[in-house]
Amino acid sequence: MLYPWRGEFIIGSKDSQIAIDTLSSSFDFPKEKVAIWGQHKTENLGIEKIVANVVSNPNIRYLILCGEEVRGHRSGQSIQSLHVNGIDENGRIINARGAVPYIENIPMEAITRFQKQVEIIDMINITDKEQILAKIDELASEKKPSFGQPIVVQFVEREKTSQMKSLSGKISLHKDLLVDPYLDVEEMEVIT
Amino acid sequence: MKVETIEATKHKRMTKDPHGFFVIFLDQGRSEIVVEFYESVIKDEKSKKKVGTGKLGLVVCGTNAEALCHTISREDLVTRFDHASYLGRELQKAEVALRNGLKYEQDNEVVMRKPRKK
Repeated sequence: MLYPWRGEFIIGSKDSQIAIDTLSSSFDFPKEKVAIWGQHKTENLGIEKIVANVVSNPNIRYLILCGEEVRGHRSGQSIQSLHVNGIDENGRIINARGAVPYIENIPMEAITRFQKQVEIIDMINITDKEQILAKIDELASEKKPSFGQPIVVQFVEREKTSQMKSLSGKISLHKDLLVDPYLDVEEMEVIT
Repeated sequence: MKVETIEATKHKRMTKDPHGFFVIFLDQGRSEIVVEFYESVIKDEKSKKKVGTGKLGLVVCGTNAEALCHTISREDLVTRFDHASYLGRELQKAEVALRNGLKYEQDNEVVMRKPRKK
């Protein structure tokens, strides 16, 4: 599945080899030229989402970091550090300057793959869209082959029967109504 | 009958819910509100300074704030009243934004567009 970790990103052409992390800035790009782009606020969860989604599309070979750096979080610097240095035994991104640069939710396999699959293009703090568009065109002419099989972080839909968690599946929301976990309401005797 | 009336005031300090925290956003492609629940993970730095991040525990999605609140409550994801009321406010804002094609950003106000003058 392409881009399994949902987020506020925009999807363009799945065949494009360019992903763009616009950090705290907001841009619109031609959909036929860019695979996926969006803002990126945090140095932990945001980075995990980018890595998980980039490795799900082996056509992506370049990750442009552009736009204004995120103050305090240093999200751009942190993802660069992840790409260059990886994480330590505590899950901390080595040499990241953000406040909470920890990786918790993606396997090491995805990090290693991210490091190998994409080349980082450092345009941090560049907000001139024409300059970024020129870089997109330049990279499009430097075609790289697809990286191979995707790595997909699995998000499974839970089966309804396993959703029941407490009170034998029924929850009192009102003195004379019980609601089951699927919001089917039934009239019951008054519960005190 | 005497009933006390008091003025509402905000908390001076936020107390974190020990269970975890939520990331809320709109998936415009699927026209849904997405709520990610992260279980708290505390990292102890060598300096003894504690920093927190989260382990993704559950993703709840839907279009209706009330249904999202009910689901989150059924799943026992919240342990503090102030956290529950915060979530209710945020999810209602997200629903308003979704229904009206507005931008939603967690913890920020939803900016309503002014109606065009005829």
